Amino acid sequence: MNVTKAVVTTLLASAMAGCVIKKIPEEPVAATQPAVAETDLSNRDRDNTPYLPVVGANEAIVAAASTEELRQLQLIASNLVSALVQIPELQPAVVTLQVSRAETAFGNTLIRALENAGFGLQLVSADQGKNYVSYGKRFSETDSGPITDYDIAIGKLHVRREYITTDTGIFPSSLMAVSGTQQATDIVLNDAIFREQGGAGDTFISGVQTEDDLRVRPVISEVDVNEYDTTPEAKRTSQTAIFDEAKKRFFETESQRAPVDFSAYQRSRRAVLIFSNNKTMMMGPGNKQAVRLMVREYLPGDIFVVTACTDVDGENENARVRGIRVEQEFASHGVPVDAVALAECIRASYRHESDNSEVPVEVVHYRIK
Amino acid sequence: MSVNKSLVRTTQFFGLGVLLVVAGCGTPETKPTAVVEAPAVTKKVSQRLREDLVAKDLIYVLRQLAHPATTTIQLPTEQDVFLKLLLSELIVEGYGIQQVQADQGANFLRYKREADGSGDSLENTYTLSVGDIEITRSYEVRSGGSLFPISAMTLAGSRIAAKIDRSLFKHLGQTTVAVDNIKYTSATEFSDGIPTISLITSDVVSGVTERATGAPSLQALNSSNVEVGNLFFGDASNFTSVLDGRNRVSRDIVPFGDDQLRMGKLGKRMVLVILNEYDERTDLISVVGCSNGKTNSELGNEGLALGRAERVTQELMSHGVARDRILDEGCWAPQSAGDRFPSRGVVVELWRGDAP
Repeated sequence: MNVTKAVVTTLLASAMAGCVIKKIPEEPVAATQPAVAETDLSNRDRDNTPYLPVVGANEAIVAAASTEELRQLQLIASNLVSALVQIPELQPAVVTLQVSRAETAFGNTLIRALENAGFGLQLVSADQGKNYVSYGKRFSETDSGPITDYDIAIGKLHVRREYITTDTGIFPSSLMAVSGTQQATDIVLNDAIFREQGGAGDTFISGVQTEDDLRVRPVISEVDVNEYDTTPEAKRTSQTAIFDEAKKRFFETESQRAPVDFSAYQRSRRAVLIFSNNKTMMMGPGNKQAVRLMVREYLPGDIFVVTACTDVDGENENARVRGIRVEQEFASHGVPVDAVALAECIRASYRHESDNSEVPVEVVHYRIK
Repeated sequence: MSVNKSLVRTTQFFGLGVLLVVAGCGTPETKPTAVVEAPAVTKKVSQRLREDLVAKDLIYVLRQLAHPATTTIQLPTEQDVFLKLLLSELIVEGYGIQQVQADQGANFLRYKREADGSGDSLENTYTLSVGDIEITRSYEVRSGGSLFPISAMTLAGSRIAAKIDRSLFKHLGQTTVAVDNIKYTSATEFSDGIPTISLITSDVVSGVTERATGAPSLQALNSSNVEVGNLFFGDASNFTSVLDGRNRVSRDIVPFGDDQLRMGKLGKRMVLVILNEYDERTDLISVVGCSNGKTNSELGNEGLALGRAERVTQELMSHGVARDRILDEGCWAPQSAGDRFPSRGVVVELWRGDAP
């Protein structure tokens, strides 16, 4: 693979500037002056909003970065964060992460990605909090060429991956290394997003390896990238779509992981939540209050079963997303993810595609006999 | 004054830096023309400064009710000017911020702004809701563009003794006591109501049979639309799982007149006495409305019992108790329940758990 001179120069400059690895700032960062050497004037009219987080943004750093660099960092952030959202201990609906003000372009794009993934973010002056996010970018000159690896650490959880820059973009050059969770092997990467940059018949490696248990063999695949894969910028998969897909995958995997033996349970309560139409994800204050009241009676060991799909054909993507929306609402009240199950379609009614009237979602509270 | 109710919304957002430069002068009365000269823009800057003051005023109280270090607040990703101002304040206070696509989350933040009047004297009432908590205050824009609070700060869903930041409106001089304090009230009712939460028991079928024979029903809906069993037929509360591990610290009976749903002065005073002991960090309030004995009311025993429980629930909520801190149920039958429950009254118990 050809690595452009410009990229090498940039990476070397970063390394020499002491950006070998970015760790927790020791002092309150508000007074820190961003180290902006030069501002590319062509960036002046650029809309930086997609790269700036709401919490802890550093506008000067982003303004100084080239568009190409920001796009690549955004892709890397999407890749790493889409793995994080599939870790049970880090469910965005319930976990609040602590972050310091971004000091690098990667910091900005990473925090923005965490926001887009739905995490709660709390700005701290140092490294307070049990879910403090530290991250790093490290450049190495290796026998197989220059490599940059990026890592994120949140508490005991850690994800890391190496990437390489080519003429057409940035691509993974290692498996995603995950540690600190037993569910690392359940993570499914959507590495196809790198393919959208296009390439010249290049191949890169894809898969997840756990660093905690050497007995677990990683599932490795290869992804080919060709020129015809090049997708116009506007048509590339959005970061939000990447995370939504990853979160959906997680909830589905969780439902399938431990099928519930309902013979050991008895039904305790039942509520039918009404969504105002077939597309909305807005639950409304009444439905939210009903969830709050049901959660009030939750005891460890209880299960809530959410039935959102009643379509005769058994397939309804909107209903599935609505069901996950209700699952997330329970999770936001502290109910463990594995205590809320999404029921399979009960195939009881026919609803025309164009029917946009109110839709029900049933929630049944089960308790051990 | 012609009253014209409308939702006032501005869409343009100026950089926070501009705001801070102007707000940094310490008074919202600073002539904005010194910053921006175009009149239309000036108007928007003034509006922003006033709304910034409102945001600061409301968030100052919120942070006393929900601690920033342990609270994550959900906001919609689509934010108008006022939401952005609230967001800036929340970040500064150290709250966790979660941006959501719809209305996800236990602490989803919403606000409502109702405008009354026009011209130089414009009244705006802002209501900020976060989870169970609701904070409301009215303000008036007077000639010259200054913002005046014209009502007390109203709190619902919490009884924590909060304070107002008096320094925010110091420039106005002396305000009246009526404006300069906090009042507790019940939260706004949901327009679509709360979905019914049914109780599922094996007695459902027999309950239908009992009803057909004129015997007291076995279950009915409480004030939160949660189905509860009739305690006349058993001692265990419908909310035993919620009360497990808690200690009962008081038990009082709020008396009601024959076939009455009115609390009267004595009943209201009893509620105040109970609330004097209530600690919202640790306590739940159990409310059992009773009607046991003959009745001439069209409501019947069931209606009277649950109606009385609802009346006491409303009274508790009107003093700032959150709905989900109250467990209301009932006991009804056309005959006496003996010593277990009163004939015409509501049993109110305080149950205390461990502090979080």
